[in-house]
Amino acid sequence: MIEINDLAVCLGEFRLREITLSIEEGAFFALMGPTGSGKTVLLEAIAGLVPIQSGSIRLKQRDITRLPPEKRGVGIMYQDYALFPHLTVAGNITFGLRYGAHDGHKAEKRFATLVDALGIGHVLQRYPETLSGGELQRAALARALIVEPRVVLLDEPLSALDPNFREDIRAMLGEIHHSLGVTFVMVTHDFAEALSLASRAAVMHDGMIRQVGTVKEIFRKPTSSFVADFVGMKNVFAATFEPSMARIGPLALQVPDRPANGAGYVAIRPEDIALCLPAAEVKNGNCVPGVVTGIVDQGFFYEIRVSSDNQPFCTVVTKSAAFDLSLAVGMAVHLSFPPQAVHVF
Amino acid sequence: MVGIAILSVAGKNHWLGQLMSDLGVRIMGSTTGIITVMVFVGLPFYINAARTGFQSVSPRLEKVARSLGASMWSTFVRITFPLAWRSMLAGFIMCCARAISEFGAIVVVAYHPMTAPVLIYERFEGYGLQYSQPVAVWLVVVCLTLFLVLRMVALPARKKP
Repeated sequence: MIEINDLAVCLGEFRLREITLSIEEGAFFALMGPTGSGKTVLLEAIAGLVPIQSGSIRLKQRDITRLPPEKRGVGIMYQDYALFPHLTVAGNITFGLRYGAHDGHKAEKRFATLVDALGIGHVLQRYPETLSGGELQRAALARALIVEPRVVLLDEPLSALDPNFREDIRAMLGEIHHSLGVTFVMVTHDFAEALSLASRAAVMHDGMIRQVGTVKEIFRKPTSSFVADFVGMKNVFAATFEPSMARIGPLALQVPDRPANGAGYVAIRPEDIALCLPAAEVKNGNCVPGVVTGIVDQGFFYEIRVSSDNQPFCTVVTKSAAFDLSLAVGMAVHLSFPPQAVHVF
Repeated sequence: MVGIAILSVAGKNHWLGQLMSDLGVRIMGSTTGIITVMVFVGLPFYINAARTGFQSVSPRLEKVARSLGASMWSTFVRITFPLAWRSMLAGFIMCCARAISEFGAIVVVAYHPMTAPVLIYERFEGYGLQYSQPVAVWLVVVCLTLFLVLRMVALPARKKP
């Protein structure tokens, strides 16, 4: 269990403020946020690598706020892996075994198990500069895990890998976490990564935590327009509310329940909006007429920009659907989505 | 300028010079004086190279070492120093090369015992070009050797498998 209470860190111009967070034992926790939001600094604060201005960090009921990094039992793996270039892979992995009370025999066994589980047996005698990204990453992970840390901090573990390789490593991370039961805290700005690996997450922005919750909750029910935008809601509008209705300019939308007092926005995920021709019968609750203003090729699908009464909507369609509808810029279309897809905050 | 500065500080009229003469340290016309001048002109080369070497060690490597349980001192011994010693040695060689060729300040501070550049100067003045050439050749050979060693040190020792 990691408990961070009202933590503040000041690094020159950059500040972390009012960080309060608790991460359960053995959890896989994701820290998300755009570049420069302070995710890595927060990781380094947990590891004791940056000076802490105020607040406290507790690990398993023990105050570690002022403890030097080598006494915390917190491992860290950086985005660039930071393997020691003058040591072989084996030298890197066994670096930490000299410190702390590691039983030689058990350590040897663990070394063998980790090397086997991570599939890096063939590169043990090589130097880091000759390794591929995936091998570097697995070596760095082995190095962090062999000293049996209580918490492992992963700083964007997948972002430096080839996209087609990323899935394998992602699955491997999940398995390792599952089998070891160690608490993992991962920094990422990729939502798919967080969804597939983590159970809970926090979104950071400007050195502050904006929302903490289960990943699904953050994904479906962001509490601020920043988080909504960050998780790819894209259709975020300022709105005024009437009972079971939301007004965006002249548009009236049905919403699932009576909005709470002080709510000022509605958000709809692009993939929840169906796009159809004006003639088609609308089965869903909300139907918004509009004009296609842009078609963006996103690889496996098209992102369609639709303007309705000058409100920019965004939806996604498969390539075959776009072909069937013979979509083109300037075409009149209807957007339909159920009231449940409209998130009010 | 360096020579004049050292003389001013080490002279009898300066408290530092007074203190040194009380301790029996003689700068003027002695090996100590030559060493002082050489250190003075060469040290910046060493410091610069060593600083670059230490700066090139990523702080992340040191942070990872700390997180793996190494204390500050072990991190220096096992990570920082092994990655920076090459630059330190290169700086030392550059420092030597710079110091060996110093003339102006040494002439002012300690003409005797003569260093190679001073000897070249004296032979050239007293006996002509031919007599100064052998010393110059020796100086060139020593400097070339130094730079050869520097080149070897600067190249990574490890070959890629």
